[in-house]
Formats: sequence, C-alpha cells, structure tokens
Amino acid sequence: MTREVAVSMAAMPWLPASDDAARASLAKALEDQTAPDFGKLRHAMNYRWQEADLRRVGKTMAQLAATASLAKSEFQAKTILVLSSQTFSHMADTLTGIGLRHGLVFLPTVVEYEDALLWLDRHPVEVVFDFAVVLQDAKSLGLNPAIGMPQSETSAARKAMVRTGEVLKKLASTHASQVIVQTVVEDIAIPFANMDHSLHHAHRQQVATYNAELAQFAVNNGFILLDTSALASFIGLSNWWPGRYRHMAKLPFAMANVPIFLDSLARIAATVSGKSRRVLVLDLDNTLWGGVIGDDGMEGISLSQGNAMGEAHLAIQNFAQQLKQRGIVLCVSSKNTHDIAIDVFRKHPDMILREEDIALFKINWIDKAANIKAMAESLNLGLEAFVFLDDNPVERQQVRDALPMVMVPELPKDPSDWPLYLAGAGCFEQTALTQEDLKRSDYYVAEGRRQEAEVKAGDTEGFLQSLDMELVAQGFDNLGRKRIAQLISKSNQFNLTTRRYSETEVAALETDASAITMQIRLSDKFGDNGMISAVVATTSGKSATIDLWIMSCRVIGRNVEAAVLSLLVQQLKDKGVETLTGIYVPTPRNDLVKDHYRKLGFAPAAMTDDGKTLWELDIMAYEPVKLPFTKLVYTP
Amino acid sequence: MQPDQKQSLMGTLETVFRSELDQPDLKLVATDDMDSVTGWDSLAHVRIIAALEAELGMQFDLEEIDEVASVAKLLAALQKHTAA
Repeated sequence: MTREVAVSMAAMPWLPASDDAARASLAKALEDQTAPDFGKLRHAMNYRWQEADLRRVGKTMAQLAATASLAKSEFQAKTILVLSSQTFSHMADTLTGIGLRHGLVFLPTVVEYEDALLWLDRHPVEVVFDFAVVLQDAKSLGLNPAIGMPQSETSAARKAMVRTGEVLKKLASTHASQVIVQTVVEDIAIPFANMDHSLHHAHRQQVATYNAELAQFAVNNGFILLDTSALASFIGLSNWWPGRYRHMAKLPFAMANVPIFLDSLARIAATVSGKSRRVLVLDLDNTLWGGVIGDDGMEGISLSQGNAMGEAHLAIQNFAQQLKQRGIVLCVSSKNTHDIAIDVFRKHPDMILREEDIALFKINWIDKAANIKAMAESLNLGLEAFVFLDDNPVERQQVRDALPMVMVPELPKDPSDWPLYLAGAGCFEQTALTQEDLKRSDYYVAEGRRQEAEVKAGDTEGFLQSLDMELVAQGFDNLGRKRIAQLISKSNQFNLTTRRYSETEVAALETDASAITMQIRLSDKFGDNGMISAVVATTSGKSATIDLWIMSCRVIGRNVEAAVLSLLVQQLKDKGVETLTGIYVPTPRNDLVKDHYRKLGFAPAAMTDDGKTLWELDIMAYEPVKLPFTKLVYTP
Repeated sequence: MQPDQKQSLMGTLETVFRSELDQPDLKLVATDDMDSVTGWDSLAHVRIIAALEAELGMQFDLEEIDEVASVAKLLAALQKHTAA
C-alpha cells in the first residue's frame, strides 16, 4: 500500500483525472472551432489534461481570440510578453491552454535567451502588453556557484538586483500594464556544501539574498512576484532539475513541471485580472472533524489533540482559520441537522473555528450546488470566487458538474495530506495586501447574519441518473451480522424507531421466517459505499410492521429510501401482506426522518401522546415509481 | 526483431508524433525525417523524445538523441531499448 503523498505534486493530483465524460465534453466544446461552447470548455478545463491536449486547446483558443470576440464569454483575452533567459517556446501554447482554467486566454509573445535590457532598447513599444513576465535564471543573473575567497565587496546578488530593477521599471513604464517577475531557483551544484548558506559570495546565499531583495522590491513598486523558487522547493529540487534537457534544449526545468509552473503563473495573472477566489466553503463531517456528528455525537467525533485523526482535522481548521484572518470568507455547507451541527461550533472545547468565524451556515439536506449558489447570491459574489472543500467525492462531483466556475479540489483519503494538496493547488492567490482585505471576512460574517435564504434543489435527477447507482439488498446473514449490528448501534439521525438490536438479536432474525430482513449495499461510479442501510419488517397474517429502518446519512438525497421501499413491498406482496405500518419514534437526534413515511406515500394513521406517529401503506394500491438506479435487486 | 513488434513500435511512434505535433491525421513512413515532417523541429524533437520515453518506460542514451532524427533511426533505437 503506497502512501498517497507519494503521488508527485507536479502531477497536480488536486485536479480530477480526465475521464471519458470530460474528454467528450472537451471535444464537444471545441467542435465548432469558430464558436466554441464556453460553458462546456470551462467545465472541461477543471480536469487534469495531458500537455498535448492543453497545447491543442490553447492553440485553438489563441487563434479564435485573435480573430473573433470573446465578448459573450466569461473568458478574457490577455496579451503577454514573456522574456525568458532559457527556453519557453515549448510552453507557449500550453500556457494558453492552462490559462483557460482561470478564465484567461493568453496571447503570448516569447523572447528567449536575450538580455532583457538590450532587447527592450532594440524593440521600442508598438502595443502595450497586458502582462510582461520576466523569467531569469541564476546563471543569466551571474549568481554562479562561487569558489575561493570573496573577491569583491559588492555581491553578485546586489548587482543582479540592480539590473533586474532596471528591466522591471523599463517594462512597466513602456511595454506592459502589469509586470510579473520570478524568484530564482538555486542550482544543484553547491561547492561549499553545508557551508554554502553561510558565505556571502557562495551560490546559495547569493540566491537567497537576491530573492529576498527582489520580493521587497516587487512589493514596494507594484510588481507581481512569481515565487518559482518556492514552487521548486515544494516540488523538490531533484524533481525540478532539468538534467539532460538543459543541455539538449536549454529547458529551465524538467518537463513534468511545465503544467504546475504555468498554472502558478496563470493563477496570479488571473488574480490581478479580478478573478480571485475569496470564499472557502467547508463541509463538516469528516472534513472539519472526524466522524459524523449526528451519529457519533459531540463525544464521539475526532477533534482533539493527542489523537492523530483529531489533530489532522484540527490542522485543516487551523488552515481555514489562517485564511479567514487573511480575509477569506468561510462558509459551511453540510448535510446535517442544523441544531446538532451548530452545537459543535458553540460547545466543543477543541474547535478552532467558532460560529462567529463562519459567514453563512447552510446545514440542511438539499444539494450542495444549490447551497453554494444561494451563498453567492447572499454574499453578492460570483461563483468563480468560491472554493469548495468536501471529503465526499460524490458531493465534489455534483458541485463540479453543476457549477464549473467553483474550484473543487480533489482530496486524498488521509486528511493529514489535505494541507499539502491545498497548498499545491494554490486556491487563494494574492498579489497585494490591504487593511480592507483583513477586515473583509468580518464584513461578510455580518452580512451573512442578516440574510438566511433557503433555495430548493436544482436538477438533481439528472445528477443521480449519472451516478450509475447499484443497490443490492439481501436478507440478514452471518456474513453481514457484525456490520448490521454496528450500523444499528451507530445510526442516530436516520433511525425511525431507535430499536437497538443486539448482535444476538440480529442473529436470531436471520432464521425468523415471519420477519423480512434487508441489509442494503450501494455502489456507484465513484466506488462502493458498503452497507448503508438495514430494514426489518415483522409480519402477522395480512399485515406487517416496520420495526427497524436505518440508513447512513452519507447517502441521503440519493433516493435510496424509495428504492428500499419498492423492494420491501415486493417481498410483502409475495407473502400475501396487504397493509404495511411504519412507526416514527421521535428522539433528540432523528428529526431528519419525521416525515419519512409521508414522503414515501404512507397515510398518517395515529399519533400517541409521546409524539410517536403511525403510518399506513396500502400494499395493493402501491405504485412503483421510476428510480435512478442501474441495478436494484433483492435476494432473500 | 518480430515484425509485429516493429509494427507496434511504429504505431506508438505515430501516436506520439500526432499528439506532439498536433496533427491527428499524420502518417509516418520509414523514410520520413526532420525535413519531410512538418513541425518536426529541434524543440519538437525534444518533446517527442520525452514523450516516447514516458510512453515506453525507456531512456535514450544522451549521444543518441541528436542522431535519431529520422523515423528509421528512431525505430532502430526504440527496438534496441525495448528488446527484452
């Protein structure tokens, strides 16, 4: 079993791999090359593509943007002058392809291997570029590995900085509206080894000094810093190293790093073009804490120091808290009972995030895309400002399909690695910092308190249909016994009667001829959900009573209940049963299912003083409904 | 060298060329070289080399890279490196 972090970060694993559907969507988007389907294109670009695909799409869009208008689309064409001391032209079309992921159509002009100042002197301005990006390497700046004793008082870093400063100022005054400059990646050859950082003429210290001065110079003068040095560290210098490709073609780094480097460049260009991400929408169960609050309760969820799972989730909260302090608006979207989930924010001693940190809570049972749309309206922000974090791949896909402008990072199973993925994805870029930024989050929190709009679900049917769900129900047996007992003991929210059968009682039901038992498994195109529901109905002549109906909240909203009922009714019919009674016994945690039987077409029959309700279904009159399952079977 | 293995290497070569040169209908013959194939310039050559290495899980020798500037020479080198 390989640890998921072994996945190369250069491969950008936070992007979903392009599958057949994405491939079809991309082909369709570009079918008419004179008039692409921009919506489909935006959706397709959220996936991870081969460089060849990115080049092809980039080339097509660059041609289109040069000849026709993007006016009716959300894409902006941006001219960009690339001044690179090493080879860049192999990346030019890919840059345009990757820019599409961030809403930009780059039109690159590439100048390679030239001294930037000399080139600028020889090429007076014809048109002002939207962007200029200066990509210099250590060698071209004279930051070479040093030997011997320091010879001069003026360091190489100082000289290089003066030169770069002239280039940047010249570009900004004549050639480009926005100027981007990269930090320098240190070379692998470090003659002084561990001492290289200590000697002021040695390579590692020269590069560090140059980068620090450059960063300060950029922020003081309104230039935009592309921190390639930080990116190379993140990837690992040994993976960044161009090796033979430096000698063959003057490539600046190994080809595997082309997409992530360009993505980093495109992200900051998009940020200064007004396309910054400003809202982080967080799921709760298994995202902000480990476990399911509705089932596990306040004491049962993992959320404390001294417990690895708890600490991993606290680290995610910490990450969100830091973003909030920087001005990112935090929202919550969770399938839960509102009062139960909000209590964790109010009362759990280990929570880092508190109620007042969250601008909008959407804790309900409607689909998350609808919730995010409502948030966008409430906060008055475009959907392209949103990032959505959820451990559940089905929820992520639903949001990605319904709202392609929302950034939805794929996440590894192990929550410990989430910060790594999120850092790599660079969801929240920033090119300037103001006092206003720091207060923005508080403002939205206040705004959120004023508004509380509920919206209904959008077109969920098509989404469910696309999941290829397979539901298989079976009578209780010894193989499923342990899991059934566990499900019975853990389910609190979706639990109609709170009948807690022991494992022995479950075993007895396996051979009880008067009972109809169902253990239900669900799988979909994302994988197996395992056993997610169990039902027990006891029969007596022509009538039957549902003594147990439990379900995991992970699969709420997927029509599992109706599917289970259809299978149950079939069994009862075969036994000659004519009337089915359902019972709802209220508890502090199962408010979620108080209308369960009404929704399934049962008629109210009685209500007792303690709030228990009885419901009846006429089996003979029951009409099966069309359900979004590709497989739906019961074996006794 | 088995004829069918040669054919499958030619297939891989064609797929890589089509994708790297963005010419979905490109057909290669053994006599093709950097002059006869549109777009096969020195930078495209580097990309093609890298793509072939990734696709076939092999590595060209450094001194080979400049030499394999025709389809026939590429095939010969690939056969050498992919032989069991």
